Amino acid sequence: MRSKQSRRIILVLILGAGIWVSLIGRLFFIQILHRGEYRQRSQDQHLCESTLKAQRGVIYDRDGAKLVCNLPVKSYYVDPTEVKNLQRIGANFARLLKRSSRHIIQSLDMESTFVWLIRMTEPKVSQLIDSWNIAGVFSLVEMKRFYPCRQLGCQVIGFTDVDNKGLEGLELQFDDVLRGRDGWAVMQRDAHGRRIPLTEYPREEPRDGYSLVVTIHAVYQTIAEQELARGIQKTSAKAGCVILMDPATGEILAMANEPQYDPNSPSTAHQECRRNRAITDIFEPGSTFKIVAAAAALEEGVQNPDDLIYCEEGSMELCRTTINDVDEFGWLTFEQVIEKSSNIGIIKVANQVGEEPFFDYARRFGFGNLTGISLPGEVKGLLASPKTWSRLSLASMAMGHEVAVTSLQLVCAYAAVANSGTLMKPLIVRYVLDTRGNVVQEFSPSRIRRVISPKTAATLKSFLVKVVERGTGKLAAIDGLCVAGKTGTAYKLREDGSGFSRDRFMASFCGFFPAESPRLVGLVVLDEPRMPHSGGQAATPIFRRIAERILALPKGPCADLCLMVSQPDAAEQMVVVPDLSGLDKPTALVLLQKRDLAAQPEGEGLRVCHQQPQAGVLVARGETILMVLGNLAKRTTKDSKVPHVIGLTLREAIRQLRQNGLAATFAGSGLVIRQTPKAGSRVGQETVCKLECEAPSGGPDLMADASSRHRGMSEP
Amino acid sequence: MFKNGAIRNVDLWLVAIVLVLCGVGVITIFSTLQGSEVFMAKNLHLKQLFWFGLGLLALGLAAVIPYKVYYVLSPIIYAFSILSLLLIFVGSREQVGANRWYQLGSFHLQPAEVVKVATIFIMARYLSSRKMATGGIKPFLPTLLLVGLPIVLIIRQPDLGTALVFLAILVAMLYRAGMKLANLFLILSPGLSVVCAFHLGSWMLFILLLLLMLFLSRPRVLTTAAIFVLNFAVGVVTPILWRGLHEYQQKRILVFLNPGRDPWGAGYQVIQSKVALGSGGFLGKGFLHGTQTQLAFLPAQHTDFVFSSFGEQFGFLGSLVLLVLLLVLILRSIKTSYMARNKFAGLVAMGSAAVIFFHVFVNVGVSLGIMPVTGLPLPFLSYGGSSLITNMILIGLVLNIRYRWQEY
Repeated sequence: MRSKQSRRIILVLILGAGIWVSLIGRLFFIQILHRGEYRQRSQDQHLCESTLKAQRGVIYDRDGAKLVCNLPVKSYYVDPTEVKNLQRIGANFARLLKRSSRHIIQSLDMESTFVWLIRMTEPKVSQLIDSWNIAGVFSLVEMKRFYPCRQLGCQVIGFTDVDNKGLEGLELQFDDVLRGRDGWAVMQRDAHGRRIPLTEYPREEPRDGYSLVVTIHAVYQTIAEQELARGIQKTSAKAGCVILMDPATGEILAMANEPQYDPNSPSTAHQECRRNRAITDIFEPGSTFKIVAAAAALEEGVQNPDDLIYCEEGSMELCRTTINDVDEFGWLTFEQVIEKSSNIGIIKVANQVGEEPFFDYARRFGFGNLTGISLPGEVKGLLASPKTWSRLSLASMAMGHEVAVTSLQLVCAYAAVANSGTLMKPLIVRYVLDTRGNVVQEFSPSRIRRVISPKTAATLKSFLVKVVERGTGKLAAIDGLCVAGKTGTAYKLREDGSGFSRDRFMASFCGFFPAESPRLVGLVVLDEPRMPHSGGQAATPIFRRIAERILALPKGPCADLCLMVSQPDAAEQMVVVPDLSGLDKPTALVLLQKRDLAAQPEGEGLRVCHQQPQAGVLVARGETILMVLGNLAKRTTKDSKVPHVIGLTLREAIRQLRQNGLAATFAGSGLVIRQTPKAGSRVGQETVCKLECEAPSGGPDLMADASSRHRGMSEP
Repeated sequence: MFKNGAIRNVDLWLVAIVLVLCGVGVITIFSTLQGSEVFMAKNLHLKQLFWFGLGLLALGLAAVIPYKVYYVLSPIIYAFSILSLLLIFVGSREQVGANRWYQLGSFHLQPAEVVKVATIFIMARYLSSRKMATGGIKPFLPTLLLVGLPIVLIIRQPDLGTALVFLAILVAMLYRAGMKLANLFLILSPGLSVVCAFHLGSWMLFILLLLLMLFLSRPRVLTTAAIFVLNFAVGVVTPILWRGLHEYQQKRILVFLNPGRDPWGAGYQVIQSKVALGSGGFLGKGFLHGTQTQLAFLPAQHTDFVFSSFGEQFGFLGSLVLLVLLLVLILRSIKTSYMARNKFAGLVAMGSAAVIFFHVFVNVGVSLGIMPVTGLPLPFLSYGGSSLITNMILIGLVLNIRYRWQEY
């Protein structure tokens, strides 16, 4: 009995010990034999390499205004493992994403822990989503590319995708520079996906992207775009393009294309609008191309400005083709051929130059070659070599047909004439800055080649001045300023290639001022203007309006060009946009109201951080000013004291007003005889002072000279 | 209290081990709270400390009251505990697909825990009060009813793990009562039939074995027929019942067989448990440095998987010490059981040892991935008042019996 009892006890002990041995054996298996494998799995779970995002660089205009910046915005994702109520997510986001609730739920990959729901939401939307407070929906902050000036220079600046990769324009061309280099760090991650940085592991800090300073002047760009849009509306044109350039340096001051789009929502933009027509579209320039033949003839000495050319009374037979002029010209001087834009005359000039030299000059002006501007998508245009020419080719080319050019090539060629015959490489980016603002790379103006001698250039300039003074470009004339330029009206080729269309034109005007020492070259191209359709009637007024508005600016690259145009009527209608930056919303609204300007506030925040158009731009009364609100430090507004300017020359008076941050409009010319507000009074910045002038009784001065110039015709 | 220097009759080892285990439990629970603000805010380690105090009180009470009182009261205790199990279907809260609690204020009371003690008492009383013929089966059959009642009620809660604890009580106490192994096999054969029923081949083999055992032990004809018919019926009915099981129960069993089939569901827990243990290695990652624990990858880390959390932080060495302590605790209880001269006392001690043994075996087995995820807590370590107090009562009973081992 006793032994039986102990046998049963031993059995229990064996059973217990056996089970324990198996448990400990298994423990040994897991914790000792396989510890490496499990340690690896543990690290895979809780350690992760996390990208430290570099912040993309900014793009500044030449005066330091931000054309694009980064805004922290919220993006939302779902962790399906944490979701409690799928239907609620579907129902709430259905309206927001414009997709059916069922569709949204299906798109959630239940296997993963991270599914994007909506990225880069606007503050209002993120507030709404936050208020729902749905389990399983999380947010994280991403930097959204934000274009505060909206469509301003949209085709030049371009845009990025949702991952901030440049897709168009400068954003694409300088993507590497702007993007910077992402860093990485080893992070600890918990089961809910939250990340905690670890200090004991190595990490590489991100290098933020470099910033660009472009040669674009935001205010000029605004003016160019506004006037282009207005001109297109007036002429019912399909599209258009304006380029403003500094001829001495090749800096592009404005490059406007119409139609535009808002780069803040590029997906909604039509493909047509995204193209930078100024460099991607080619067209037959028409008469604006005539400077090539003229330059060649002058440089080669085959024609003198005063040589007479018979223009066949407006009609000439050439290889069984009739060439017509707009008017029945008889004998014209070479100068008049350009001035009146005679086709027959220029053909005769080109014939004297000869095929090879003509082709050579066209090449030297840069046609048929890339200009080398730092923008993506530039095309060469078409310039056939003389070997492939027909007998009519030289004649066609002299008139600007059988060649296809880009707007940029054309403006560069005119800039070469303005720049005493030296062709400059067009510049769009001036500096690359690091995050501290140090210059990393500088793009200096670079000379491509001397195309014609300074003497020839001067003669050609005088031809072009005559065009504006008396010829086809009369509408470009600005009171008190010597403008040079050339108009162009080309029949467009039919789309099926069967010759020229009779009712579809490319109208253009390319000009520069002041003719004596040109500071600005401008080109206006209109695609299919309806009424009026000619370059002289449709494109030229746009050029003049742009020039006038630029000259009225108190700041900018051409600010030192004294405004010599008296336009009191226009000045009454125009007001200077005040600088709103840093002001709180009510103050900004009052400021705008005082100047009869409407306001369109955007965004959330206390103070204005961007405005469009920018401060200092002259706009029509009643214009709407976009102001983007953000959180900025308060700005203290400075008052200015109006200086005493009576008795000074107009030029000096305006200079002194500008030094005090004041703008001016005036009537008359000569010496200032009256000023309002009075000298010594304190006024807000950018206040417009009215000056009245009278010609002095004394000897001639600059003003007298200016006022004696031919007055431009008013716009039709 | 202690008559004529009977202090040596107090199992001080047992007391010391229980205190150490409870202390380790509170510390481990504290470490598991770091990963979760929600639990941290609840101060669960302080609550566990409170339960520990209450448990000590229960232990003392269970130890001091002469066990003869339990003998007398056992039918009443059993009746009340069964009644409480019945009532739970009326007034309890539904949570995690299980009706397991009575809510008293902010505390959840699990009647199933009380039933364990009550069942041990009633079983001990029944098995000790009869003159049991060690050879037969028939006198043991009523014990099936005593254990079967709570099993049925708890399975309906549904809590498969706790229901299985009663099977452990049954086997251990029958064995302690002196039942032959062959008869134990026969009495348990319907349960084995259930397990084997899922596979036709193994079920056939089982039936053959059963017939062999019947032939060898030769009970009465009627008993033989009853056992055989019961086994056969169970084997047929089980596959049908299987389809009636809750999906989560089916899933748990299936995932147990192959944890890889559901890495994010029930299998996820087992995988995470193994990763936590395995990454702990020999010496562990150190207190509060368990990445799987502190970063909340380990599920149910303060309750069902507290062993894994402990193992991650204190490694193989710590786990080994812990397991040895638990084994010593159980073996000393069994020793007490066989020391006791009173049969009722010996049976109670054996039942108590069986409950703790089964909990440790299953809980650690689950953590090590060799058992299905049953949701049984680790005695003295897992967070939970009902479980801790019950285990303290059981140890109190063992101390009680050990102290009075000479009594008849």
